Amino acid sequence: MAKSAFRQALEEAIELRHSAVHPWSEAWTSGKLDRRLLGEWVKQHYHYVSHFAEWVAAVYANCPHQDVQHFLLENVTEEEGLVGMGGAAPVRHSDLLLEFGEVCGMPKDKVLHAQINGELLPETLGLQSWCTVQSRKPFVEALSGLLIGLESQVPRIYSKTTPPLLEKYGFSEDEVTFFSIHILADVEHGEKGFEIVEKHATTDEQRATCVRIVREATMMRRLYLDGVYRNFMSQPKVTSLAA
Amino acid sequence: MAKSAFRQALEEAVAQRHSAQHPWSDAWASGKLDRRILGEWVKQQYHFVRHFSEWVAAVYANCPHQEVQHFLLENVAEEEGLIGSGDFAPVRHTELLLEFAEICGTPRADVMDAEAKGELLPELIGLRSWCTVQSRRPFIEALPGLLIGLESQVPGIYRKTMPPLIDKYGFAEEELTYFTLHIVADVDHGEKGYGIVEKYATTDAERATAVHLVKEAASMRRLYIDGLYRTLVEQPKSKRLAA
Repeated sequence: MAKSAFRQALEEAIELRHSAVHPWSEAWTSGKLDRRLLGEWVKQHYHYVSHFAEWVAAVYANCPHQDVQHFLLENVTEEEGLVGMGGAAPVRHSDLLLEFGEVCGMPKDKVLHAQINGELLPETLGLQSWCTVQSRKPFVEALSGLLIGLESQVPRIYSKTTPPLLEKYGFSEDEVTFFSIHILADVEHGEKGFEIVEKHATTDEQRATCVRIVREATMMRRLYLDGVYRNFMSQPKVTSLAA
Repeated sequence: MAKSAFRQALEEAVAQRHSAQHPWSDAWASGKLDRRILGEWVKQQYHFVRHFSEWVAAVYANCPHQEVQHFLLENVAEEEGLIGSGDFAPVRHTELLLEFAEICGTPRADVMDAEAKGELLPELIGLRSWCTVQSRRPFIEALPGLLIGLESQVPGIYRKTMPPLIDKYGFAEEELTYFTLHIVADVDHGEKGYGIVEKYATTDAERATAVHLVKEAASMRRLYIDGLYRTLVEQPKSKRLAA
């Protein structure tokens, strides 16, 4: 079946600002990072993704359609490790990220306490706060941002950034489960997100709002990557030049 | 009376990240902007400050102490123009900002529609989302960020940026009521904010959280003006150089 104009507009909104095409992702794939920098990335990334299940649960709590609620609850239980995904054993996804942090030499406690210790970048706090605000919006708007604008990007990002973890940074396959699991899981989540939004955004006004929010989501995700890139890639270089 | 160590820590948290000391404020004060850029600033600033009274009202709605509620309601009533601030006649503060935009040559409709048109900077959206999240916290956590971390900075910022509007950009005094009013009003609001936070944050944990949130607030405000500086001052310059 041909894609609707609305679906095409949603996809284009992502395509124009996809996080897979960003200096941070380029630096990652070309082997310019190291384990220390990847550990710093975990410190930021954890305080974004560890809240994802809460945001989805807030939408669940505020959604009048049982079929949508069922999908959202499944999403939350997978993220939190109550049920497994596509044959994989149940595991809390953010635990996998913490384990990857440890493999990079970044202690779990340092990651967990980064917000209290004032180590989160304002860009990370901006994305995190934006998601919290979205999760309290009417469900069609909330899901446009969270599932389409953000979650649907994940498979492409990790399809690009996972192979270099093995080939260029020397991690083993079982050390990068956080990434491989999301390539599979989020294809399905993202696709369902599109289906739900296409079904429930029925007026022109709602559709325009959804496209705008998807655009905003992709901008906020890029803002986060801009912060990571500027702080860990551009600034240290400037400092070392000045030294 | 000597200032408490807590009060000093709060003030230091602001002073170290004060928005008055920032390339954007320096560019403004040294006359490097022009009316078009100031109009673009209003387009962003309006979509930050027009929500301030909503955030304060959300804290009011969630605060168990009548004296604090009274102050918060007064703050909202002043912002919304139900009562006057100091010697100023009652006026909706954002109305003054829209008038300033028109004097700069930016039509009010352009300012008001900027969000729907996707013209808001992600840095601004990040700050705004952060404020919305803060406003839903327990009052003793919400107020350090909103009143001390943000509102208490305003007189210091406008004392620096208001005189050049007359001396360097050629505005008349009566065209700048938005600025003069806030120099007066927010000294009182900021000072009362300190008083409330000092009185009600009684445990070490509450005080540490308050200082942490003031730091976060000041960092988030800098994120916003980083965005302004990059977009309105730096990028046009590099485009000109490339041309």
